[in-house]
Amino acid sequence: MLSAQDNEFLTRVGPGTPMGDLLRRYWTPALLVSEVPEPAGDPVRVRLLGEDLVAFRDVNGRVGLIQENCPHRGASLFYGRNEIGPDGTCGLRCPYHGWQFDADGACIDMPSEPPTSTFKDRVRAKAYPTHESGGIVWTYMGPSDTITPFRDFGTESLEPDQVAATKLHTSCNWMQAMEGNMDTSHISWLHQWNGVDDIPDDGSDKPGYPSNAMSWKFWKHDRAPRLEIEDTWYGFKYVGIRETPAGHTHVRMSAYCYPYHTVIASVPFSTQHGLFVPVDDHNTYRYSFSTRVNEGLNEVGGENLFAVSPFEFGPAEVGRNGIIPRRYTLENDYGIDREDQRTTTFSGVREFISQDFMVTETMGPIYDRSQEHLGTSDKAIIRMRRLLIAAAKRLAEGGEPPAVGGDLDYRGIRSAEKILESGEDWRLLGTDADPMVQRYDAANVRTPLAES
Amino acid sequence: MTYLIAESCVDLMDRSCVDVCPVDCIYTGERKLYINPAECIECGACEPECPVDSIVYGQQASEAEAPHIADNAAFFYEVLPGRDAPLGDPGGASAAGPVGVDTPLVAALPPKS
Repeated sequence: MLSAQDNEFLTRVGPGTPMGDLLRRYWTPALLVSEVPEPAGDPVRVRLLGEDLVAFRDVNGRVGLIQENCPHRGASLFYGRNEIGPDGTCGLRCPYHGWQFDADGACIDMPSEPPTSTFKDRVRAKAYPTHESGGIVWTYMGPSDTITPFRDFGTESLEPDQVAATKLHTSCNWMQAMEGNMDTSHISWLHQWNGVDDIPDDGSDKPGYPSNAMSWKFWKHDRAPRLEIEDTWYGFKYVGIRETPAGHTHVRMSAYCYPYHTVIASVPFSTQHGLFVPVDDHNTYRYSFSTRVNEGLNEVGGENLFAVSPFEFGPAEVGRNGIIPRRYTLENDYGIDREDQRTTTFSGVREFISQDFMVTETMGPIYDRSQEHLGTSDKAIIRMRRLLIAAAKRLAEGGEPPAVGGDLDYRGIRSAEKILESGEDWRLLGTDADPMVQRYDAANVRTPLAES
Repeated sequence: MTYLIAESCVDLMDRSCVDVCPVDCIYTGERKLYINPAECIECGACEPECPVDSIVYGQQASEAEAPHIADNAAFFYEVLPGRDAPLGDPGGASAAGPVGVDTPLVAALPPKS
């Protein structure tokens, strides 16, 4: 549990809040590249960390991210004209009196003032720098004198046809959404279904890498996993340890990276990131993006995990890029089917991701964590909160944010899932020393680097 | 770093904290309670229960409280007076029962009225 005071400290991210200050020290997804595809295209409203902004790709192809309200008298620049300005400049022109601002926030034209006026040289729109990578337009919203290097999780070297980035809105606080994602225990409950027992045993319940289909069985067989956590330079990694029907030790290892990245367990390892980016204190965009294409990796676990389940999946895959629409929300009770709940699935909710939203959104916009009762299966969530609160406090006291250095190997952050050999240490899984990583992610393996 | 119980618990042992601990990791000595650092999951439920604010998170321990970080651990991993082996991590205080002895640091404290 958290005190009401710590809960506020952890969850509030607006300008001037300690956690908001911490998050602003990291490059943050502002929107998808696919939302601003063309030069001189339509501007897009962006609400991020409680600030109202507008994004536009200018005539020259550069993405600007500036305050939504015109510095003149506050009209929304979302309705502005994205066009060429005087003397080879370009930017967004306010529809009210024609003031125009470029991607850096400079006022490049003020045609409603006398031609002799120099006022435009002294007016600026608040603007944040942008960087496109992996299908996401990232921004840095912290003080300009503490700007941190862009963290390359692997997206910088993706070919255009390898880019895959989606986002999905959820109406609750970012910590709630991220806690739900990091919680390994709930896959044995919320996401379970009766047909798991009918999945044929393919013989992969033995030390090594099980098939994805068999993983369902392990999660259902041992529904109270033991958690072990290892702190790392980027945050922590942890395993949920389950006993398999054949008596082996199955581990699901997921990683948490400051400030809101998760890399969730998968056979044999994964580098797919989930990000829980606060729109404001009550709304979150859940981004998901690929960091590389590892040829042959999918052959290890075989058929996709979800292909064998009876669940629906969102129309996410707009060419694997785009905003995923929500079909199931609180308004239609997440599509719950009580008959399904009685006879077929544990939750009664047909769409996989909506099962998560059903539980995390209905906790309320910001759950009051002084009311909770945490157990052993919540150890990873407890650690995540502790690390974030400690990091925000250190920053407020003049310290530096963790995991922002330009020399750190962000591509080395991986999850894993495996049945351990006798005596095998799960802490080596997903590292550069893991033979699976050397085989399938060779391009991103460094010679020995301190693991933590 | 887990929670610990500092000196104000001595000769009081209110035990409200014991009822809310999800993992039963708060053990009873002769004059004071001790948190097992390996069994504590850092959930924080015990902290607001203590009537004398004796429970603190390790990283937030004051200078006066800091010696109890090692002392809580010592209760489990050192051989306590009159015993021939350390308690270790028994896996539950209610099954282990009251230990009936304190660490040397606590035993040496003057009685509180």
